[in-house]
Amino acid sequence: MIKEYKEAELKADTAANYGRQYQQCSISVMDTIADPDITFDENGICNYYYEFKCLQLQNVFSGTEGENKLQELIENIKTNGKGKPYDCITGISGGVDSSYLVLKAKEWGLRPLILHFDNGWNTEMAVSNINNIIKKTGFDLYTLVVNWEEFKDLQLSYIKASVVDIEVCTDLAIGGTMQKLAAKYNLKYILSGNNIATEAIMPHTWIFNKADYVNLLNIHNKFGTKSLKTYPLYGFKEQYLYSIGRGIKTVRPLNLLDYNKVHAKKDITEKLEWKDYGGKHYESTFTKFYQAYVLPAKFNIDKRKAHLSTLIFSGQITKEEALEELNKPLYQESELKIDTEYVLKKFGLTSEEFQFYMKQPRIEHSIFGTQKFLTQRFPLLKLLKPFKHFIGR
Amino acid sequence: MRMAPIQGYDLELLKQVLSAVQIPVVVSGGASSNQDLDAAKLIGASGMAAGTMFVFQRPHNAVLISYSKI
Repeated sequence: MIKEYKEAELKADTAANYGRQYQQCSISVMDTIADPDITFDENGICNYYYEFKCLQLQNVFSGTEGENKLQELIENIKTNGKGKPYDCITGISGGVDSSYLVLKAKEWGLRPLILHFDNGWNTEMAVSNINNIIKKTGFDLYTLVVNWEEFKDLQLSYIKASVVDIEVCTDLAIGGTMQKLAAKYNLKYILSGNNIATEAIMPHTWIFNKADYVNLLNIHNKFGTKSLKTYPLYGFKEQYLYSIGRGIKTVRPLNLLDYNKVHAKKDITEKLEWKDYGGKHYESTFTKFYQAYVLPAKFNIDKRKAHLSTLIFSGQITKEEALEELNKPLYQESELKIDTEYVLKKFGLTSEEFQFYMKQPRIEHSIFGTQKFLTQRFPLLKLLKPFKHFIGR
Repeated sequence: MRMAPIQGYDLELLKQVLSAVQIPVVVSGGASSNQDLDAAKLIGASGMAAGTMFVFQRPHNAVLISYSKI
């Protein structure tokens, strides 16, 4: 039997709500399903609302304040890039946030090197979006094409390990390659499309640390069959060396310009011939399959709840609109059939094997061991932190 | 035939081959744009082959398989 996500049944099942009655936030669409840590105040408002407000206060600047901070950042990037082939580096997936950021970088007169990570799961539309963006902006593209046999082995290890965050395989490699490229071209700035307005909140039980290569290696050692010869490993040690040693900074300009998803989509559609593929992170066939089938059916996690709730908190949609969106099926039946066939064929799994893994209980990442922060192992390194901004300049 | 650098087909060689043989000639190697394909067709090539221009983006030879618009 195929494992399915049935929200109505989960609502009535106390076990699926971690021993509680089903409850949904009075403001957002976050609820007790799949989130053991959610809490509500006396008005039924969930903890994520307050977390969002905190993050917004700390990181988002609008109006003149935002403009000034943005101008200052742009000037710093330009100054740092003088005499270099590029002044910053940014990643592109073909999705809304990264595409919009590249468009803005062009308008601000920046000269980024664009990195794209090809892990073998790109949709045709994502590639066409990236191609249009490169043609329209004239920016140079650098593609990291992962060795598919190695990457397949790594992703399969995560599926067999029954852990929640299979995307660590991709995210860790992107983070590492970005830092390495920045170091290669002696650049200080990495532009990130990551932003508070559209993606601030995410329950920590839905994801895992994206830079923990010890956990990745341990999972792969236990379940993998091939050695990772070319996969770009990147861990806390490198992160520390690049940020402290070379002074490489990741900056998030979308937090400085009243970022709005609808406006951004309109802008990139008009100016970059960007095409919508219908879901956050659906530029990759695997990510779509993972978010719209694996996560809900196996882990009871519907990531749309976090994405839509963030948009409610930032005032970009109403709760009614979010509920309407959530009522739409995660996958069209025919589409799920096609994607399942494609994914299983690419992984070399039979339907029975895959369903076996889908029915295994969740195993926590930490069971496989985690990387200790470098400062935990060498506490004296903490003393260097105040000098972070001076070292490497 | 000529290999990288990608700077268009060797049109001189194509002309020589076309005048020397009576069979259809397919030109391959060096195409970088639609204009290169047009130029070879204009001279009389029966077919034009291209690979790199659909796969790599310069200057880092970044892999991005794409089809340029006609």
